[in-house]
Amino acid sequence: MKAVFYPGCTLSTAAGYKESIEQVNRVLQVELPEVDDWSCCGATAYFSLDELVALVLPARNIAIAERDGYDWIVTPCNACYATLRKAKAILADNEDLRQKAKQALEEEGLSYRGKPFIRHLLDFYLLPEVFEKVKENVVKPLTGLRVAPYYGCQYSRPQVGDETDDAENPVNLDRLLEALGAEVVDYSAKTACCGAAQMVAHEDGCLRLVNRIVKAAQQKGADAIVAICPLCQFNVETAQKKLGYNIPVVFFTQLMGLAFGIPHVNLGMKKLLIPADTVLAKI
Amino acid sequence: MEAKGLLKELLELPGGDQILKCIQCGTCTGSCPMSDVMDYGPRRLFALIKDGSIKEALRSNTYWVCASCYFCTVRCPRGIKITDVMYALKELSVKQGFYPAGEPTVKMYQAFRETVEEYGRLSEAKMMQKFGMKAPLDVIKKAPLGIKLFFKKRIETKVEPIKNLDAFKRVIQKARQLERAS
Ligand code: SF4
Ligand code: SF4
Repeated sequence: MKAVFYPGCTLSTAAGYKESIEQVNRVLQVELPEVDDWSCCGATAYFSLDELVALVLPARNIAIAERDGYDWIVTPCNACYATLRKAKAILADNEDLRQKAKQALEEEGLSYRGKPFIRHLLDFYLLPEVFEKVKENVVKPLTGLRVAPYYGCQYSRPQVGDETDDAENPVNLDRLLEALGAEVVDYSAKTACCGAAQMVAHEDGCLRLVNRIVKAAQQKGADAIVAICPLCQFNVETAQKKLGYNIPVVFFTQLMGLAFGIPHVNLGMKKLLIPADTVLAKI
Repeated sequence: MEAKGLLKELLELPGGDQILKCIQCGTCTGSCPMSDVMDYGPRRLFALIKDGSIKEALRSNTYWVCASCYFCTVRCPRGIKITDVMYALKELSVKQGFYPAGEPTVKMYQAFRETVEEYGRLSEAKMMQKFGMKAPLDVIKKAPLGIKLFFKKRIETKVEPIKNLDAFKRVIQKARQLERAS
């Protein structure tokens, strides 16, 4: 298996996600080079505006990955993950759209075949051979830390035939966090919606959504909410300021890093808006 | 365009014809996290369309407010890909100019598109700048916290366009050409 990393546009502004991924990969000794000259996947905006362009944007990145001999595309963002998978499925299914997408990509000398697997970074770490290494490298188990895994929507939905987890009750992040020694709380909002980009245009409605997520986590005594997507993390963290909560929202790779014994500053945890001091104090 | 023509166009869009299978059970609206911000929930929206009131449906904010959470889609007992129908409605709305009055999401998506087509990637800072120029002032004023924080802490000051920007633009242009031709 040759894997390539598709970071997506929001990774660089996410609070410490990028840094912690780099640190974790270094410890695990996994190579994940970036897709050469990757471009935006289009996310939900393009499906709303032009159908063919919406398919061509993800297809361009898939085509570059296959040109360079990769058979796995790994992404740390739920929206990229859903968009790439969905486009791949539609293009596999619809001959007419596929021909047109191919024709458009020829403008850049790319040929689209649509072979690579699209995987979320979380699932990459859960591959048996990688997961073994994850477990071996836990030197500071997160014993006593109560965490609420937050999957958001687009990790387990939509289902297009290649999903790795249940649509409404996913467990993969739970498994990873347990392997780090953390205590995973079961709460009702693990796949509830944070409002995604609607936070910009419809803040009031989205604040109610985040309220539901944070309240549920708090009721179960969670010390932290654990995110697997830059936009989810941003919404759930920043909205708490308006809602009057103060529960740290950390990336799963930051917890992996802590369990691997990496100092929190190297994991970008100072960039968190809600300081993770309570989390750090517990481990 | 008349209601009949609009309906025909919707049914021809990818996934658009699926609404005909709807049995009005209400599972979608009951599952929808955005329903209290919507003019109508998805069930009512589909009822309007099937009843020939597609113009009224298109003037509602429902399909623009959809956050693409896919809850309705995984739960609909008729297997309707409701989220995709919402996308089809957005496309139709843009093509035919039937916007709900004052709905800011339309402008947000346009700002997103312009940014991506200028740089090959999204820069949130650039997008917000463009959105700020398009959106009514009260929207900008009303959602200040998240956005201000965003500018303060995590703004990316420099946008690096992708290397092959020219070829990227040709690809998009070609896709648009092909879409129009079909
Ligand atoms: S869940 Fe499906 S069948 Fe039921 S009202 Fe919604 S669209 Fe119609
Ligand atoms: S995908 Fe859209 S319409 Fe369906 S439940 Fe989610 S927000 Fe509501």
